[in-house]
Order: sequence, then C-alpha cells, then structure tokens
Amino acid sequence: MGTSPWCGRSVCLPVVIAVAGELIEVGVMFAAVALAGAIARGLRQSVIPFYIVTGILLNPFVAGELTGTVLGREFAVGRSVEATHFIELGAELGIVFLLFFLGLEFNLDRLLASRDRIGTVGLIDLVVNFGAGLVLGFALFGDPLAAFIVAGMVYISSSAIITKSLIDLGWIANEESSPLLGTLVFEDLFIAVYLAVLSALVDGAGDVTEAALSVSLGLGFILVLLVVVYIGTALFASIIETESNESIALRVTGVTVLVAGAALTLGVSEAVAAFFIGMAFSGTGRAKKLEQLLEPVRDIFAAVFFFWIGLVTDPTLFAGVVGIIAIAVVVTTPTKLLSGFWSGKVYDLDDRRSTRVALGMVTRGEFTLIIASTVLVVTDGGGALPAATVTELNAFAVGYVLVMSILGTMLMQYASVFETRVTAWRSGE
Amino acid sequence: MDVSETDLPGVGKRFELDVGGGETAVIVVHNTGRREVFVRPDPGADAELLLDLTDQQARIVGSILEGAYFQPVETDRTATTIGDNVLLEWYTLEADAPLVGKSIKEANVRGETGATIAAIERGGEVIQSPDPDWVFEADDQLIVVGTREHHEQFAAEAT
Repeated sequence: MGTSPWCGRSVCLPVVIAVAGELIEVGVMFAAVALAGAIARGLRQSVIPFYIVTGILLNPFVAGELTGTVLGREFAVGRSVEATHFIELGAELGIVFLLFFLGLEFNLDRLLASRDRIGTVGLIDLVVNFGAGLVLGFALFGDPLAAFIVAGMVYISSSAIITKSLIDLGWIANEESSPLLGTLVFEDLFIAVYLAVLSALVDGAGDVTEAALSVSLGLGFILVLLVVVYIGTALFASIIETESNESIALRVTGVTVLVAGAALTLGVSEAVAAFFIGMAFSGTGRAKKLEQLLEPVRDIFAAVFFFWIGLVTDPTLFAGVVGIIAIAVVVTTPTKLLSGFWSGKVYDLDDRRSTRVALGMVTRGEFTLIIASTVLVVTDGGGALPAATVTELNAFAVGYVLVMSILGTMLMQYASVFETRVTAWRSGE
Repeated sequence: MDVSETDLPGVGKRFELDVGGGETAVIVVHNTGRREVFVRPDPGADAELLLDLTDQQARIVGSILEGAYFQPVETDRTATTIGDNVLLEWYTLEADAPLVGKSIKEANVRGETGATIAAIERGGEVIQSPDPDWVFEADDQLIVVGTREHHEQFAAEAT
C-alpha cells in the first residue's frame, strides 16, 4: 500500500478506510470459506454446499438484515459495490478455471476409442434426464426457454463431486467407475454446446431470427475454437515453452482469461471458450504440469464462485420455490437412478454394480450453478426472460443443488443398503 | 502376463493384473501422481485399498519390488590379486544367499555380475567347470575371479 499520487493529508485517509472496508469484506469471505471447507471435510461431505451456505449466511439478506436489526449497523459481505464487483469477477474466473481444467483433462482420442459405449450411455442419460427436465420445466414455468434452462439444470450431474466420491469410496478401482466416468465425459461435452446455445438464447430479444443468428454466432465461435485446438497445438506448445513456473502460470492464465473475456464480449459463453482453451493446452502433452501449477488458483476462484452463488441468493425466496424444488427432486432422482442402472447394464455390470452407477449419477452441483449464473449474468439489465423468472430460476437452482449434492453423496455412501435390496428384488423377479 | 489398462477420465489410469488364486492386483495412477494399490480378492468382489502412496513413495516401493533396492551383505572372505585389478576371492554361501537353489545356468553369474566362478568346493571336494544344471547349495565355497567392481556386484547379488 505505497504512497499514491493523489494522497494529500485529508484526501488519503478516507481512501484508505474505503479500501480497508472492501478488503475486510473480501478477507471475511476467504476466511469463512476456509472455515466452511474445514467443517465440510470433518463431516465427510462435499465442500460445495457448504461454500454456498456460507455465502448465503454472510450476504446482505441474512447477515446484513440480522446485524442491522440487532446492532443498528449492517455488517455483511457484498455491502460495498467494489467488493461485490470483485467477488463477481472472482466467480467468473472460477467458472473459467473450472472449465479450463475440464478441457485440460479431456482426451479426445481416448473418448473416440470408447465412443460406442460412452455414446450409448451418454444418450440414455441425455434422453431420460434432459427429456424429463424439459417436461418438468414447462410444467412448472410454462415457458419454453425456462423449460430449456430447467432441463439443463436437472440433467447435468456434478463431475467434481461424483469423481471425488468415487475416489473416496474406492469405487474408482472397480468396474462401476467406467460407465460413471464415461457418462460424465459425455455430459461435459454436451454442456459445452448447451451453454453456448443458452447464452445466445437468453441474451437475445424474443425475435426468432435474432435468436437464430445469436445461436449461429455462438456455434460458429465454437467451430473456430475447435479448429484452433486441432491445428494450433504447436502454437500452444510454444506459449508454454519456458523454464519458469511463474511464466507458465501467467501465460496460460493470460491466454485463457483473455479468450474467455473475448468470448463473453461476443455474447458467447466464456465457460465454453475456457473449456476449449483447456483442450488446446491438453494437446501439448504438458497437462500435468499445468494442472500442478494452476490447481490452487482454480480452487480459490472456484470457492469464490460457490460463495458468490450464495451471496446473490435471498433465502426468503426459498420459501417461494420450496414447492418446485421438492417436485424436481422427486421427479429427477428416479430418472437418474433409471438411466444410471441402464448404463450399468450397457457395460455388462451385475445388478449390484449397476445400482452403484444409478446412485452415483444422482448428485448435481457445479454445472447446474454455472447454468444459473450464465442466465443471471447474461440477463443482467434485460434479456429474453422477465427478471422475476430469472430470480426464481436462480433460487430454484441453488436450493436444488443444496439438496441434490447432499442427497447424492449420502446415497453413494450408503449404497450397500440399496445394493442388497435391488439384488434381492431383481433375483426374485 | 496381461496387464489391463483402463482410462479414468479426469482421474488417471487403472491397471489390473491377475496374480493367481483368483486375486487381482489393481493400481490406480492418478494424474496428480498419487498411486493407490488395491487387491481384489476374487473376480466379483470390491477392490480393497492396501496402500495410498505419494509419487515419491510409489517410486521407492516400485524400485524395491523391481529388485533394484539392494542392501550389501557382509561375507567371510579372503582375497588374492592377479595382475593389476583382477581379484580372486573365496565366498561361502549362507543358507539365505540368493544363489542357493539356483542352477549355474539360471544364476548367470558372468552375465549378471561380470565375475566368473572358477571353482566350487563342496564337502571337501573341489569341482572345476561344473555343468550348467549344477545347483548351488548352502555352505558351498565359491572361488570367484573378477575386478573389484565385479566382486562388489557379486557380493551384493549372489551371497
């Protein structure tokens, strides 16, 4: 905090105090998130719902209201405009890095090698769950665009939480991990296209031709990125052709965030852009090094993302959406169980392991929230949906993820109970 | 011996090896470098975690399993020098020496260590140029010729 050029005696102090206030807000955020993470690990749960709840508890709607009434002065994170902007940008970077890592770990050749089975289970998962989501969304909101959004939200399972559970439970060493991971890979690919289309649809006016143009632009951008990824490996390799870790980290971050930002300016999903940049760097063969260097960066900004989701959510709105959340949970849990069990059978697994696949797919998480934030950010200041619907969808997504992340994790942990039931039932048939 | 390799997208790779008796060794190599070693007691069962190793630990365990992690063994021996650096030494094989139970051919002493066994004394009798099927036993006394390095190698690997 050196001397600033405009720092005269009476001017400097208020500036310092102002910055101090914002810095403390951000400091509180990070400290709270760290504490929440520790609690989550102690309870052997996924950290994601805990980060979200922390954001909710500290936001102006909760902490602000409480401290305002009790202490007469409001203390909350997200009170100052500057801190809120920082957290919002941090959340954006969280999305960018999450998707960048997804692309980094993505291996097209390996996918093509198992394309038959992955294609089959991916389509089963898509048709059953996205289909059910469309019907559900239309029934609940009565609007085709809202239905499309709900479909995406309930269709996509949480790669992050499920993969971690697979490792923690040791299922990673068993056969059931194959259909699970395969389906998740298919979902990742689908959601990249979905996000591109969604950004365009939500941004546009109600005009069909304008929407079609937006979607075409989005898909065109993806095509360009795909070509760059395919033929540009040498270019990306040369970018990271340096000894210094600092240099590698900075260059990769620079390229990724720049392209993501450019995409967003063109109205294309920054998440998708980051995904493809990740794929591009994966092609250089130095994915492990990049993962090693950037994992802490990703983890910090991802935590900010989940915190921010909670931050912008007014829990009093949950009361209004509790009904639709309950309906969604009741409808979309059996659909995942069904598609999951079926997928297990496609991989020739016995009833017991197919049950595990079924239970494993239930968890929803980061992608559902990324869809919600895409809608939120793109429609900020006007878009294809009325503001009330956007707020409702957001509250729905948050509540839905809070329930499904914990439900899914518990189902996996207590899988043995279901395994014996299902095996007994199926052999009795 | 077939090692099956399964890709685990977003995690790493899984390797499986049938080790007999229905048991399968399963090793998950994470992209992060972490290695998890499991045993699947029989084909339908769940794999049980045996070891959760860091990259560093995995390399050490790996080299032990590979047979490259030797501890030198003290032997009771006398030495005679022939020429500048060629030594002739006597070794007595302990019961737990690696050579015990192996045939000359199997042991391949010259190939493995560079040293040559000139003669073997067993039960008071000296056997010169034993045939390849001849098997080493405990208490055999070996007369070995080679450079200092050959002898070190021999001492480490064979006695």
